[in-house]
Amino acid sequence: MAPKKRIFPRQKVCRFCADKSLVIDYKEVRTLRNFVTERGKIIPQRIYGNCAKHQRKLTDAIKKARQIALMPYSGPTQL
Amino acid sequence: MYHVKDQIHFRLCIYLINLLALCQVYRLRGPLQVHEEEHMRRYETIFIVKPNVAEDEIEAITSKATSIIEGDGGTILRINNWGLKKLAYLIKKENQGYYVYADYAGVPASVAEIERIFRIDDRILKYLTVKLSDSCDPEAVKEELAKAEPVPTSDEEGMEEEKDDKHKEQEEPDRVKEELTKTEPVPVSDKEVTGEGKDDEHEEQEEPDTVKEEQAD
Repeated sequence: MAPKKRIFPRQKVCRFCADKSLVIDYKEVRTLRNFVTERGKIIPQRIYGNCAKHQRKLTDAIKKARQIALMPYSGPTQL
Repeated sequence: MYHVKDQIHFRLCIYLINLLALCQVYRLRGPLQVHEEEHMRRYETIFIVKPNVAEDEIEAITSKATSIIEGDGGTILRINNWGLKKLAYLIKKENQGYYVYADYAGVPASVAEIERIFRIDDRILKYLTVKLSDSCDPEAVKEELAKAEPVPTSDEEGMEEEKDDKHKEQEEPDRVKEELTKTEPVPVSDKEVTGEGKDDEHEEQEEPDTVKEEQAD
């Protein structure tokens, strides 16, 4: 296997730990959209540097938003 | 057991054990009445109604739900009509839906009843109930809400806005814009997510583009 284990040199701080005013809520689609790719997939933790707790909450919120048709399961998010 | 005496003894024993077991069950289950203050949980329900439905029918559905909640002793904290919104995907071949948001303190039984009614009704496309907290003091929460807390809504462009009169619409977009500028989002393409090369360089290059896109929004 090619050497794929790259250690990310940048120390990434969890956005939500640093800024406590950011609320993770499934109704706030605008903030949730930042953590989803163009095709609607949830971005993994290692890329954005979220801590595990907030990544879990984020995933939960995104899945709820998908369920209530505020976000798509797949395909581009409108607007 | 050959003797009748033994059989009777055996059967009596079993009968007594059954009785004891039943008594334990009733004891553990406790009294079946609802203690009002303790069992009030805070829920929020969002349901989507078909777009063709008339306004008064939507009112009828909402009032049916509120009557169920209040019939069990709950209190409605707020009800917002988000109006017609574009759905992220087709639900029953419909592109748009009429969203209603309800925040209330109630008993778990009322939630089950509301969902049962939503399931039966054909005009309701989807519903989602979330428990916000296990115990809720309706009066205290009402006071908090009266202090103009901004209600998070997904206000997309071109859709009807909330009918709240407490400047919530003005507060909400400002806060959202702050968050956007603070967090500096980078749209990560799917290749970067799944593959593992050039992550950092790509992100930095794409940042100016995305900032422009966000401003354009």
